[in-house]
Amino acid sequence: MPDHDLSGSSRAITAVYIQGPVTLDPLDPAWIQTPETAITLSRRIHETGAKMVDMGNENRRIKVKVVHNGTDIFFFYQWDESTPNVTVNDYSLFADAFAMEIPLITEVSPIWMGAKDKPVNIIYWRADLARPENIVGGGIGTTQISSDTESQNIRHYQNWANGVWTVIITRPMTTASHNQVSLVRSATYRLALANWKGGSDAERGGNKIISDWLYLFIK
Amino acid sequence: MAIMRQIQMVFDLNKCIGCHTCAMACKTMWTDRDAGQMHMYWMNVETRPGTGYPKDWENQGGWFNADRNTIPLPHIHEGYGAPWEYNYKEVLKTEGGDTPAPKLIPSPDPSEYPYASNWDEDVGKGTFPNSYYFYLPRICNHCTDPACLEACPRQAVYKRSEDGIVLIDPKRCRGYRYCVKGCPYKKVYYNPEEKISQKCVFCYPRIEERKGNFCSTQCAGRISWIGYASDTKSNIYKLINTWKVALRLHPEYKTEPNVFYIPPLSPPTYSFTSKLTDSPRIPIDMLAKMFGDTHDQNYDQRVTRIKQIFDILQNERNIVASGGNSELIDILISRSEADRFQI
Repeated sequence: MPDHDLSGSSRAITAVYIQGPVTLDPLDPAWIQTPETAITLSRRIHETGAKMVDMGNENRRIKVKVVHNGTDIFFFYQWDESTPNVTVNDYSLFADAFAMEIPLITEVSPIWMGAKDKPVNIIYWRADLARPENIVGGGIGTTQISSDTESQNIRHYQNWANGVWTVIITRPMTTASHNQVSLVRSATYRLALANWKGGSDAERGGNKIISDWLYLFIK
Repeated sequence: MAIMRQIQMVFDLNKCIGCHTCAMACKTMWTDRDAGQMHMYWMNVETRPGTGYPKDWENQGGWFNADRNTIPLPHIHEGYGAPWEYNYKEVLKTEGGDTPAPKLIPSPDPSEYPYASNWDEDVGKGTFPNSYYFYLPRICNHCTDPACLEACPRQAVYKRSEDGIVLIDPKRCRGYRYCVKGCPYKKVYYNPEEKISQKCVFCYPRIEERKGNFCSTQCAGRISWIGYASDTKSNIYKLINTWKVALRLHPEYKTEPNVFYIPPLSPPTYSFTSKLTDSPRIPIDMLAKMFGDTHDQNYDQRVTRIKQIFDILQNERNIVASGGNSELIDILISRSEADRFQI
């Protein structure tokens, strides 16, 4: 079994409570006063999404900060990326992407897109999309962008500079519809993160790197 | 899921004149909708010998290759050809143009990306008087064992049970393009505007109304037949199974394509001393590398089959030439549309 370098990383993330409005600006004071958690993504799924296979020793580190003000919750993600890939307008071009997954109705779900009776709610960001997608999955190959416009209420900020992607994703804590998980104070949720490198790595679909299930506690 | 009926098509390469009416028909019907489709010709006509469309597709492989991870994805410009626009508005008085020295200029400049779907049209091979080429019209083969369907991890590609037509569900497709990589005929395309993959749909709305697919209907040369594989009364059944004059393109790809071709006869070559030989100008070797019945035939078996088909065609032609009747020649002439579509 290859060693995954989990040194300096954690599986527990706390969503800090901030009073008042928070903005989609990385320089917002909310971010400055919030400690970051380093998460390691080191697990790979087979390129067609069919099987979970440990492949190699690769580790990607994501810096995570989460804040909320009781109404909206904000997820701040930062990771190294030497070249940004922001377009899909040729056959060989794939854009950088990032996603977060929370079980939709159960406490735990299979990490690979959930299962029929244990669906998952995914927020999927990709550098070329106008806004992140709210997705529901009930197993490998079943993920669907939820069709109701209410659930496509996710706003974001994205910027690549000096070899670093910064992405901030926000949505109301109250669920817009049955296609979103409800996020409640004092509750703990499983959270998994996924990253795709675009460009010549051509990662998309099941060809991605993911974390283990993490624990998100909302203060 | 069982396929109840399988639609099939036969092209007679002896009749294709390379007019591209079929390609234009399909383009105006299906791939004229948005900028992302400009490079797509779901139906295209290639000159053979030639590099094909997309460029060099025969050497790019498909999902059944052992090394599927190394299959490249073509590029829109280098592989398909940059679709350009003309400055009609500047040049044509009817469009309001009024420049003093009007010049019709394409943009983007095609010389930046020198390729097009018919790039080496009519170039061919061989030295005069033995030069040769023929036209190869191609659509999606709606294979019985489609590589595109197998490649998709989301089951966005499916095969209809009522007619065996292979389609991509645009709502399920996420633009992963494994299907584009997977098709060994490179007949799935990617739309960078819609960010999904698209392909020939065999004009299924027309088939459902028992009309021919548009390429076949508009064909100026009346070169194609369509029908269902199990319909023993159909002309495609007679061509494929009774007369056995139709072959698959690259059956060694193992996808079991449902589009067949009658190989092209050609005039004999001249020898060095200007005598006619009994070798046809289009080398049988070249045809045997392209066409065969099934994936397990070897090269020699394919050569034998092509020679056999040529004998049958010549024989039936001779019968008619000396005043007799031939069912095969009647089918091949296809005087009316009803002769070509039995659906």
